Amino acid sequence: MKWLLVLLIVCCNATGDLLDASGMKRHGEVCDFRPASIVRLIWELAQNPWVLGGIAAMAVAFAAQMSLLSIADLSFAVPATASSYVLETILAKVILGEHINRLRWTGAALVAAGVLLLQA
Amino acid sequence: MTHTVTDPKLIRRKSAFFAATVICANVCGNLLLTAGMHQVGPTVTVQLIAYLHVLRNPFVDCGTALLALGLFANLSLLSWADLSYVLPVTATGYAFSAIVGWAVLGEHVSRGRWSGVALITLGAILVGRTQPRTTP
Repeated sequence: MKWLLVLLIVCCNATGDLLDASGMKRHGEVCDFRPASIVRLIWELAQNPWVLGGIAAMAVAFAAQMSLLSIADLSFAVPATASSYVLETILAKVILGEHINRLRWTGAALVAAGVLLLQA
Repeated sequence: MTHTVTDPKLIRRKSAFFAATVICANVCGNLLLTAGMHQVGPTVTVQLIAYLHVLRNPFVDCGTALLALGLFANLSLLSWADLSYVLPVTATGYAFSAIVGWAVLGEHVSRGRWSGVALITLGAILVGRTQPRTTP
């Protein structure tokens, strides 16, 4: 049951992050953080289908994570679900066309190894 | 405040600030959620109504509010930074979660897990040195 929830969380997180990243790039850089502007931003994002889809995927992941936290320790739950970002770094290159230089690959690989060790 | 930031040094500083916000909100949010969900007891169901019931726990409420703040900061960060930059950098949160789980919840953290914390921190520092945005 634990690992089934982990799988669900990983898939939904990857989908959610990709949709959010695409949606926010389409929206453009957020650079005004006055309260009125934040309210307007939330209103704009509420009409952005990419961001909405991303948040929906995240909501499923969130419910699954709540369930996981109710039956497992934080130190199991969090690193287990963290493995999703390995998949996501590859997807960011393939789907979003990000240029990942050697320094970033090295850093991402170290983080990946660290996450695996966290589960030890 | 309303101008688009183009100076690479400023973009890096702005990205670091938002990444720190995401990390703090997620670590504290997850901590409060765990405390709350352990109080509520096992809840694994597809019935959404059961999740409304857990919202009566104040720890769950505060945890959820912090995770919402983290989501908003994460979306803002993604509006200018690469996903492949944001992910490894905010993964530092998992290292902090292990530290917090050890320090606050009294969870056992093995030597292997401490090595994981060190590797994640090192990896995030390396990714933090790359240019946050590589797409046009």
